[in-house]
Amino acid sequence: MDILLWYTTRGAGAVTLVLLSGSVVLGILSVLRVQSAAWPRFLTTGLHRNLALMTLVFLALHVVTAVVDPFTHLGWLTAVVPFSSYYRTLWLGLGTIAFELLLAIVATSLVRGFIGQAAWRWVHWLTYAAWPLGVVHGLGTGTDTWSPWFFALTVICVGAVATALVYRLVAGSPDPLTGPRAEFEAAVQRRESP
Amino acid sequence: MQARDVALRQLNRLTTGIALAALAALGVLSAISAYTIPGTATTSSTAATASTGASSLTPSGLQSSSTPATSSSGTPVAVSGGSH
Repeated sequence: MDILLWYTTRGAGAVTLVLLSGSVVLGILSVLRVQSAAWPRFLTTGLHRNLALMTLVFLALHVVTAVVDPFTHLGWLTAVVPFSSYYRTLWLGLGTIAFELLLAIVATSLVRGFIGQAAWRWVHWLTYAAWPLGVVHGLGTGTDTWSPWFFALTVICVGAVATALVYRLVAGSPDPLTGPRAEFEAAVQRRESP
Repeated sequence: MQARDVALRQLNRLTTGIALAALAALGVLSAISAYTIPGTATTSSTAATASTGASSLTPSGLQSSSTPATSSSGTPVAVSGGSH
């Protein structure tokens, strides 16, 4: 039974990586306001949100199966307190931090109306920390790190997110009000200066 | 309004499809991980070594836990391989 838990931990970890990467890519695309006649923009944001929630489900499965595995004796503390594990302390600790960051990101997204857009945006920037921490956790802790299937999966996920990031940086701000807003701010500054 | 309903249906279909694909992937990737690094069940002699408190190296060269797992029959069994 415990060996099945171990296989499930590894499988759920890999699926979590793929889902999280997909959610990050969709998040970047939604910022870029990517859309077409067949793909309205709210489809990107809706899928981004649903993928993030799915990521949490598989992440929970990954954590729970790892913790309840009687062989590893990780304990529940490992799941919530970073670097408290006796086993591969650094790599598991990074995974714990990524887990908590994702929890914070999803929780604040669910109560976005209450906390306000600015606070939500600041917390959402943590995604750019959570995702690489998750990848490094997988590479450092993972039993399967150098297995061809897991390595290929990691390369594909990193490639997808890196491509989306570069595209975002190159494309710049897609906000149609960027120009008028800058002109307005410049005009206000001119008026205020003596 | 109709276009919005169509897009919402599309979102639901995509979400359901991805959820089912993720479940299938969980099974497939767990099976692949089991196939590539299955871990091994060793006999009670290994468990006895582990129970002394000293960590032991498994045949695959990976470190095993210091406490052995116990099978349902009560016979001590240490499982090794990868994280195990």
